[in-house]
Amino acid sequence: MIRLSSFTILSHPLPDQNTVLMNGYSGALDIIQPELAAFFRKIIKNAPRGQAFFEEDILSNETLSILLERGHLTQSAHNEEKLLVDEIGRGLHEMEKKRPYFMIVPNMDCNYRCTYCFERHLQKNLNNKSSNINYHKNNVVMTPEMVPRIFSGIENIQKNAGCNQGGMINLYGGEPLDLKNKRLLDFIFKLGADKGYWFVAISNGHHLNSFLPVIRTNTLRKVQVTIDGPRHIHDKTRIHRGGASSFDRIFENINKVLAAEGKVDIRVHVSPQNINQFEAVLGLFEKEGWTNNEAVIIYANTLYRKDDGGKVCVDLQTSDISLYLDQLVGNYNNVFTSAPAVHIAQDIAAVFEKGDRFSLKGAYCGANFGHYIFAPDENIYVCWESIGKENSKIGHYRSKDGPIFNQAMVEKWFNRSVSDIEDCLECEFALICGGGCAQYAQYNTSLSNKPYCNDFQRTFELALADEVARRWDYLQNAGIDYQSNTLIQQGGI
Amino acid sequence: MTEKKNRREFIKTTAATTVGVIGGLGLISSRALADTAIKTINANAKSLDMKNVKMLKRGGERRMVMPDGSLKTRKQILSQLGFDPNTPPDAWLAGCGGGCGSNASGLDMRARERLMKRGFKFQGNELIGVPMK
Repeated sequence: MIRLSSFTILSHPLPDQNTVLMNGYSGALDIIQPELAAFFRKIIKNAPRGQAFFEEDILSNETLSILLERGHLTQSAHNEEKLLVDEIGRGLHEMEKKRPYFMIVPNMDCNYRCTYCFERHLQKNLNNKSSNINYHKNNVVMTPEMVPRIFSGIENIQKNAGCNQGGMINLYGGEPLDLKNKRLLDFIFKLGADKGYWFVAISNGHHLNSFLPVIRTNTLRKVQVTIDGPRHIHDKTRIHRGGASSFDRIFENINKVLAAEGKVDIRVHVSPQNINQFEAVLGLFEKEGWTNNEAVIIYANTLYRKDDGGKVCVDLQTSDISLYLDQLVGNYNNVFTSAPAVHIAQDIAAVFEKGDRFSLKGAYCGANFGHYIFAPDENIYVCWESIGKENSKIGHYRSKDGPIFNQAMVEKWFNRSVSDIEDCLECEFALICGGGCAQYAQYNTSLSNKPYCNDFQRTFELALADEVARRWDYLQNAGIDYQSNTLIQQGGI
Repeated sequence: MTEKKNRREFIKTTAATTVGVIGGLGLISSRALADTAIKTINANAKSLDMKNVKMLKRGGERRMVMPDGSLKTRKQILSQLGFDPNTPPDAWLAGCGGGCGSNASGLDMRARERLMKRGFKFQGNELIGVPMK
């Protein structure tokens, strides 16, 4: 008897009905025929977890040997595999801790009032004297004297982590690129560029035209903006406080950024009310030349909100969006049905380009290994979902001597890896998902050592099939014959 | 009783699965399975040798596999046993005269002296206090 690994993942069927067989810790990806996929699905379904045994003489020796070598079949016991995943998760997490990420929030206010904004509680209280961040305390917008302290803090953190000075800094808000703060932003860009940093920004896109010079010099390399549908839909949810059509403005500005050789990520929030407009908005993007454009990534994403009990929920599951939009995105190489699909496309690159294992992770995001958000209230937060909230505050940068951290909070956030979440170690997706959003897990369970799965598993199975089919098609179109066991050796990619 | 029942259920399920797999594959043809082909996408990804994983270790709290299959840290095990999870490993050691090698948790006098210099307190042969940070 031989056992199918407890960490076996089977993709959604490919267009030719084959399936991608993946192992959740060896990172091996193989394409198997429908019969073998059906057989594996059947034994996974019928056997208790970790007990998917079968007689090996059902398969040919060659097939058995490939499946064993790749880690899909194993002679290890379930608990040994689990221990292995635990060890790998811990090792990856330790490596991730050596790569800190940085975010600067120049402004907590915003010139938009989007209907679904999760920072509404914060913005509603910006004139309330008793709130933590408000105009009376003068901590809504950064002051120039904070900026050198931030960079010195970043350098300090990088040095302690053993990495080189420089790299990417994300600008976030509120609205980070608000024209009224142009002088402050110019200072941030100048000081950052002088020290070897470059920037990306998550912006509403309204004032991008005022930042074209830093885009041209490659100081601001990428912006993420949001378009929620055609004008009549978008303008109802993304509301400019001055009353102008935000749709027209953002469209115009995206073209200006692209002309300045910047890169743009376009996020399209999808809800039951607007999902049927996705095709129309994609048509508009195509007309502008944004589809199949190397400088642009377009992706749909669900809207997260909190229910009456304060728990995070969605009106449309990501995997349902993927199924609904699947047919629409197939013709484009830069359109994705979800944010996880974008990440999978990035993580799978080395699989196809170098034949390497699928990129695995020990933690879900930087908030669990080293994300430092410098806010205008001179505090350092860890999660961009909860800037301004006590539970995300890990320290401050008020001191001239460098950032001061609350060690208990640092440990609470940065020590959460899949290996610390018991439920994750029983999940085949553990090292791919990383345990899910810690903040959402906390909202929903009051505990951070619980996973937040949402429907990652189904989303991944769909996205994996989409991405492999997309790359497979590309190889086929490029005339590379893959009718052998080893694509890499034969294709020489 | 419950444990026995669970075991019976498990044996029944496994037996049913094996029959399902070996006896009748349903709509899955055994010839198709025997002839199935696999296309490898990433040849460099191979099953990990358990020993190689040691290379990935970078500290972190070790865990042990419990009889029920769960993984627990030392702190979790201590809590489960009703002990203070912050008790240092040294606290389980009892001092003994040099020369006694039969007690696995024995602490020879030189080691005891070293610990005392670091602020550990003993009452007789028993460790009763640890230095506060």
